[in-house]
Amino acid sequence: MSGAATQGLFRNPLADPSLIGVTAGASLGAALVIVLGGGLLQGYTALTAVSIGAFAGGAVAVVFVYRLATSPSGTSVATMLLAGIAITALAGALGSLLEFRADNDMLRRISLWKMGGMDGANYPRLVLATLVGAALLVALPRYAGTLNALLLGESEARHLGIDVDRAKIALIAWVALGVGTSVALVGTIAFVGLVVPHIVRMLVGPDHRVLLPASALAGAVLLVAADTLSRVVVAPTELPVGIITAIIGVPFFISLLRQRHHYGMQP
Amino acid sequence: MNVLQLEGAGAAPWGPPLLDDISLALEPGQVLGLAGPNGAGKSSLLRLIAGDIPLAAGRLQLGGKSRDQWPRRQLARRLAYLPQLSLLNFPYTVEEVVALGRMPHDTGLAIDDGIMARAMAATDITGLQRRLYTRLSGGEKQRVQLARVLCQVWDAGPGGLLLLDEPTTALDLAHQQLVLGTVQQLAATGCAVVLVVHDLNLVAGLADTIAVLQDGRVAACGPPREIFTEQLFREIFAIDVLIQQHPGRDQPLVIGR
Repeated sequence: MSGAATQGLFRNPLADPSLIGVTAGASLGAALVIVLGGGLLQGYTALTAVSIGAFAGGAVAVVFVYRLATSPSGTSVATMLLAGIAITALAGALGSLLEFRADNDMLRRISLWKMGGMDGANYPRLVLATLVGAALLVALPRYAGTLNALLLGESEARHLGIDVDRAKIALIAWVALGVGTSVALVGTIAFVGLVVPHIVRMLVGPDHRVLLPASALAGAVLLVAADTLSRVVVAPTELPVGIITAIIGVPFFISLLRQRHHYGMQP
Repeated sequence: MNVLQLEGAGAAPWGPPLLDDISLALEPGQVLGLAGPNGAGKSSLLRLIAGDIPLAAGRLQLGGKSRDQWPRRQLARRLAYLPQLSLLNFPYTVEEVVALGRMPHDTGLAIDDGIMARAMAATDITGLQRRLYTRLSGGEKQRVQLARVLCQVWDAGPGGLLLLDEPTTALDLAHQQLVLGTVQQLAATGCAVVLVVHDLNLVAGLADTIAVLQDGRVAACGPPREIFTEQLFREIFAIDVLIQQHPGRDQPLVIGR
């Protein structure tokens, strides 16, 4: 659902929260916590600390990118995308630097976390995920009409009487919260945010009043299915679910891309 | 009360002034044509009125109030703007695009549907309404966007203001006539219209007043019959033309030599 909102905001059907640097920032935040505090923290404390690090990293990244792209005359979407790419590169480089310094045990933990997995589920995490998920389910559909108008262009949306700048800030904040929290809880699960809204749009069209809830549902279904698979394939070991979503989802996505003209989607 | 009043208005969004000392007034139902060579400031003037670029000098009043005094939605119900270019790249159906024009209104589905149907008929896109916008031709897309802004001010009446930036560039002759006839009908309901059209004979037949812009200033302003002179075309457009009376209608006819 965050993916669908981001794609609407950036008016690009291939946009993704990772493009505005949230995912990269969150990864770096987590890696920092693992490497710097790795020896001191054990068990649940460590997991919690990593999650907070990821959330903080994502939030810092999105605020920084947004500041960079905002000028007195408004917010440039192009600058924001480019800034997101720059932040992703910087976060990636800093992350590599950390990995270079890390010892074997830390390396393994960082890379496992990066693959994404739901094996760390426990009740406090579940409560947090439910609260944030519910908040997003209520908050984002309220912006469906705004997102529909934004697809026409920012100034066109403004002429339709929408406070575009305020809507953008609110949407970015909600997306940062959603992505930051999910990255913190389960690591970076590839592909769901980018592809689910894309697939849903091909099925139900670009109207956000339908697209947002449908994407939330489809994303949850895909993730649960992938997680079930990840527990079964190499049982009793549990495969990181991010691997599964990518392996199943990418070919599906490519086949949809090949047929995109049937749906009237421009490249 | 004037729908639009500009007094000594200027704009300089990127440093050098694009518009300077523009004074214009528009009454309900009046159609104002903007003419002038490329880069004279026609589109900039529309964007200034629409609020896309800030006012740097002078005054701009919409219905007797400055832009800041209008609540956003209230203003959107009476002011609609069709830009030259539209970059919609998502597979909306034609109907969904047109419906966006009713977004600022709370008139309810029944009224909205009626207005949409009439706006789509007025732009000859009724047969396209289930098609995907991304698969239409340039002229069809232009008519869809036009129907969208028509919907926005369809019931605005006196006090409404429609800004059209080259609404006929991609249209064939029959559709040009259809669209301009629609604009005339809308003006008859009291909605004022400001439009940029490069075909001066087209604009002479439609506009009550024409403002000719040159280098960001108003070089001439008045009814087409009075301001269309061979001297004006030589000085501003750098071409030699003949000005004749239109054989069928009461309007001047510009003929290239």
